[in-house]
Amino acid sequence: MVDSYLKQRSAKDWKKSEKHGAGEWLAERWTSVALFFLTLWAAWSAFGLANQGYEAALAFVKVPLNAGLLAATFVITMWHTYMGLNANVLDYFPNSRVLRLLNLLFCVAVLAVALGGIYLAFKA
Amino acid sequence: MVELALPKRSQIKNGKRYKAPSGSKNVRVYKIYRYDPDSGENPRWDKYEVDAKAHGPMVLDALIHIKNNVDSTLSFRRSCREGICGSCAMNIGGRNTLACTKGHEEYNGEITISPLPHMPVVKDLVPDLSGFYAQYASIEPYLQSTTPDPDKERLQSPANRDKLDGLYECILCACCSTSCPSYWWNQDKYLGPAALLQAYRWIADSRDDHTKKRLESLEDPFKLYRCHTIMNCAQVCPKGLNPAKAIAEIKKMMPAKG
Repeated sequence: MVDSYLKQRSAKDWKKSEKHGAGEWLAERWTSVALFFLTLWAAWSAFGLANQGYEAALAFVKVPLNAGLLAATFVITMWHTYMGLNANVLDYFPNSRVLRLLNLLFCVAVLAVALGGIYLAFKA
Repeated sequence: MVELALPKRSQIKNGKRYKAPSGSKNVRVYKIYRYDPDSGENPRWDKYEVDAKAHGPMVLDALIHIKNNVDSTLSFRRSCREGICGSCAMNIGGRNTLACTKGHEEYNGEITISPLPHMPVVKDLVPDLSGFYAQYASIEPYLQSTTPDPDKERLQSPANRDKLDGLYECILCACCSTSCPSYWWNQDKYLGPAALLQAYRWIADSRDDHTKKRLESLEDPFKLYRCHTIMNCAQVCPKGLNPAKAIAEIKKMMPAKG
């Protein structure tokens, strides 16, 4: 006989609420909306810089508005990526803290390199 | 957690083939999952050749015919035989449905029948639904109100009553929950479409004033937010309900609950 059939699981044994999730759900949606516009801007800017050379790209990043928008694009992209990968980890490896930590480290590392690059280009 | 391969004890072997009586016309073949945990043997596919003229039009009629006339060891649940009790929910032709409301003529060739997916099997087509029922009980599926009981029934406007349409009809057959990949992987934590549809049924009820408490008990990365709008639940519901929409309504209400 199947064990769980005999055990008579009780409703009181059921998982208690962790009292969070709505904030993450909202963040997933708002970052999606923001990325829609930022990606259009980034694609349009990249199209304008095509075949213009390194100096033109550097001059582009030196404009404070462009540097700010580029930084925002990377911050929101990596935030969204973190939430998306985390959803995968929770789906398939719900008990793995290691994978959740690796996901966080990966996203923070990529973001640090991207923001560092933007900062150096801005100051160059 | 996700399982990419069946455990050795769950791998399905080929079983017996039961021939139709000689002279049978319009023979249909039913390929049925057989498993008895007490035997210590692996599950197997048994094949039953059945004369379709010997039984009624539904797949459940064929199963009852097989049990009565061919193999009395076959186990399955059934009760109302008219789609209102949900007992005979099973996977037929690769899709969860009720055997009593599904005509065998809706299928071509061999008809494959197995228990509801990714649930422990008690025997043959009988899944263990104790976890499913515990989930249902955990959402407290009854009216809760701080206002004193009235002398007569609690009244509701027709407009408020309409909000329960598409929710109250659920018969708890478990077709939706057991068709959901998120439920397959995390059924120990994720409530699943059926329980969440029922949770929303009480959240949407104008006579129930425990909405905030109900929402708070659902706010959890696993209990609610493992739903990724895959929509299998809405596709398979034999009553034509849409649990995914009910879950989406809960998600929409959650940030504003305060």
